[in-house]
Amino acid sequence: MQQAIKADALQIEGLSVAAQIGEKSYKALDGVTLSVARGEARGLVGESGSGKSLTLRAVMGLLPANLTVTAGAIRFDGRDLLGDGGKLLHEVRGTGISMVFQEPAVALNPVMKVGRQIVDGVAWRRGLSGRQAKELAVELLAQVGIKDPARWVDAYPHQLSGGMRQRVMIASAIASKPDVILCDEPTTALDVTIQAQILALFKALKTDLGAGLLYVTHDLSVVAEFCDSLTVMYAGRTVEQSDDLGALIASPAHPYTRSLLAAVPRIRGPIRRLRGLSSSAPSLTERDQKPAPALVACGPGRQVAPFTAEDERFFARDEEV
Amino acid sequence: MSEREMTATTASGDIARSPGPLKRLRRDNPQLLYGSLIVGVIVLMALCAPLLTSYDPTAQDFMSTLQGPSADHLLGTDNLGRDLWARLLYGARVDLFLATIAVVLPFVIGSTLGALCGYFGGWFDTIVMRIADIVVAFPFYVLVISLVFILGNGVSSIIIAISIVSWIAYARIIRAEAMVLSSTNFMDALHVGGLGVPRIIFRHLMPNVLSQGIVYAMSDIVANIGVIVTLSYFGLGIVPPTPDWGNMMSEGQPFFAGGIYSLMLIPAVAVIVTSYGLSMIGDGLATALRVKR
Amino acid sequence: MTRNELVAEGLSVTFPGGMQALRNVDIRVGAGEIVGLVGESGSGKSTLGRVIVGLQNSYSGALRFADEALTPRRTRPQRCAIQMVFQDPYASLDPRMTVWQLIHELMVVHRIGTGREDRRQRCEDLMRRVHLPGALLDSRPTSMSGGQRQRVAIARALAVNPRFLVADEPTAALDVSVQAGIINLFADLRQEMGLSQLFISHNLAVVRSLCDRVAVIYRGEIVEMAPTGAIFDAPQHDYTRQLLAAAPDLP
Repeated sequence: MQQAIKADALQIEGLSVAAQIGEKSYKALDGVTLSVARGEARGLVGESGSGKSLTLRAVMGLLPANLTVTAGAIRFDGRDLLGDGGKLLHEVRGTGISMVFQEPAVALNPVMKVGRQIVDGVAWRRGLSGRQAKELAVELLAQVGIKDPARWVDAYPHQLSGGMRQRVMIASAIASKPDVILCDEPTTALDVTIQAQILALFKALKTDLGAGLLYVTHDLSVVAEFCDSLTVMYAGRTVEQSDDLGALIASPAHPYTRSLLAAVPRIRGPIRRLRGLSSSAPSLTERDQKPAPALVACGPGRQVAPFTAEDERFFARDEEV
Repeated sequence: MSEREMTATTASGDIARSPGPLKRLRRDNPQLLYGSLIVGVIVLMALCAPLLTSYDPTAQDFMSTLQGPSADHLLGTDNLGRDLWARLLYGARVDLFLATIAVVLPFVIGSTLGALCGYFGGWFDTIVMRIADIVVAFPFYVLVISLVFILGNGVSSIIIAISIVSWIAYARIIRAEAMVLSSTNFMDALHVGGLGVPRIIFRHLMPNVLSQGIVYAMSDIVANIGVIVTLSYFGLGIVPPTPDWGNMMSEGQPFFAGGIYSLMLIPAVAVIVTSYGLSMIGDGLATALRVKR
Repeated sequence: MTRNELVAEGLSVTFPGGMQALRNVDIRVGAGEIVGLVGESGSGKSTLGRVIVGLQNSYSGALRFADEALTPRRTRPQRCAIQMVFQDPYASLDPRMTVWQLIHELMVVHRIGTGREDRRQRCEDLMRRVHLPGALLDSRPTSMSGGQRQRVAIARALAVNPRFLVADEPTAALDVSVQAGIINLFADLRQEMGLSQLFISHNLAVVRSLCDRVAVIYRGEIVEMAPTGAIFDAPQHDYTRQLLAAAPDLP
């Protein structure tokens, strides 16, 4: 693989997803646009219901039955994943793109040894022997920072701590040397110290593997720890994004991003009253059904959704009631 | 963007409210609707039996035995000349009534014990569950048949016999649900609120765990109809000449080999249709009663 | 130094099976003070909260509240005085009841208010206090957002006029944006009613923005306790430093 050219490994363009509820159809995602290059970690931030996890599921072709892609493109290495009736998606899933879930306790098979789970897909695809597969599993466990991997390769998930299980999940996600890893709040269920270790691991993997990361979370301070770029979503739409996370956080352009940042409690700096965001995002059925306006450029590598003075007032309003 | 604020204040359920309640039920829970229709019609027919037939279900007429369906006798007559339609209707009364009563008693006893077990745990739970294990260790029919032998034939024996055995299923279901609920902050919040134990158990715990028991009760009625009909078939349940679907089948059996199928098949179909309707209600209730969290 | 509201001395809890959840814990919360209790899962922080609120009654050590000893058999006023808000508002509220029913029941049981009209009035006041529209009184928590449910849980805790609130990770299940509003609410309750609080959390940033003092708990022991500024600017214990280094923050 030539990582020299900084081509986008994953491109999502104008992705719209409709939810069928009863006889009516609602916009679950509306014109979501973002891209992830190899070696780039992009944070995808939003509140619950903003569509951030749904975006990941759409990429993986894992949408629930009542949701369908209505417009837009998802491209992997320039090839449309939605185009050929899912054949390419099937080929890419698990090899080119892999995913790390929030709850490793649920995502791992409880009756299969972790070593086998990690390499199951790869071993089958590459036709590895049992011994080769096990060696690969040990290697991968070492790569995700599990000490004494030869001992743990034959353990079952319930014998592992939460942090170790998440490392196992990550090991199985990188087993096929993917170009893009989708992460769905992988540290939310973990303790702070373990979370810090996992984030450090992601940081290391990004450089070691040269993979692109799309990291979904509701916690801005987590992505600020290790992501390069940032996309902010609200109510199924992209609100603002930047290839430079620092620049976006230093000078947010959209009123929603400003409010979101003001809600984050800080470890350093002056202690100030937090900004409680005005009533959380409208539910699916309450959303604006007009098509989302296109993002406009507002600086190098930065885009923002157009907003009105009324939006500004709406998002600046403090707290509920 | 004023509509966002407007819609945020209106109730969120207005899309679901548009069609009528029946239409909505047909869309969301057809099983409950059709199950209730089937069972409703059967119950109504049983209740209105005197209006639907002018025959006495036990009146014999030796001038017209083993007749086929006719304008006089809708389903024909049996070997004693009794009107089959009348026997079917009055049999439904007996069987449905018995089956339902034989569910209410174990439901109340079993659910209460199960909730207490789940709430208190400890020795109380151990004792109740050991008793349940012992009762369950006996084969069901052997136990019921021996109880009917001891207590004698008849309605009350059947109810007691079934109750002694079938409270256990309710106790186990409710106990499991109560234990799950007890392990969450649900109980903690009630305790911190300073509510008394009886109030917590009967006002908060039980209403939240009963739905599984209610769903089970539907299939239990089905099972009870089976038990009652089976006991009667073996001559252990309802005493003839009281009409009952089990009696009807057992009395019709000798004629089955002779080519007269209707005596046995008509009550059998009634049992199947009723059971099917009740099962559908059970499945429908399982959907409808799922506690939304 | 403010008057002591809650004092715990030498609290130890050993679970059946021998696990020591708390070892000789001393903690003091002054009147109108918010003390943060920070630790990771399994540190014993929730157990300490449960002992204080009376849900964990097998412990050794002494508990005093408002200069009275608290024993496992608490009086009704003592029970009401110390209330708790839980992490998961989805689990802690009876899904079959409307907000009005939930709060009204407590008022009836504890003989608060005179008659229905008065109680309705009190409920509306409570809703205002937790910044919820009064119209929500007649809806069920199941139809509400996570933040709204947590506000309902807080309103319910306030219904019995407590003087002390134990909040066990009340924002852990919420979005950061919703969390901010709940944190502000706890701050306002102290400001407006002088409500003393023990705020249990694994999130250092949250504790920093709310609490006057912070206790750090590790494997059942309080390893450091100091005013918030001191904990964050000059942590003394190794574990505190470790926690601080691990906590993510905006640049």
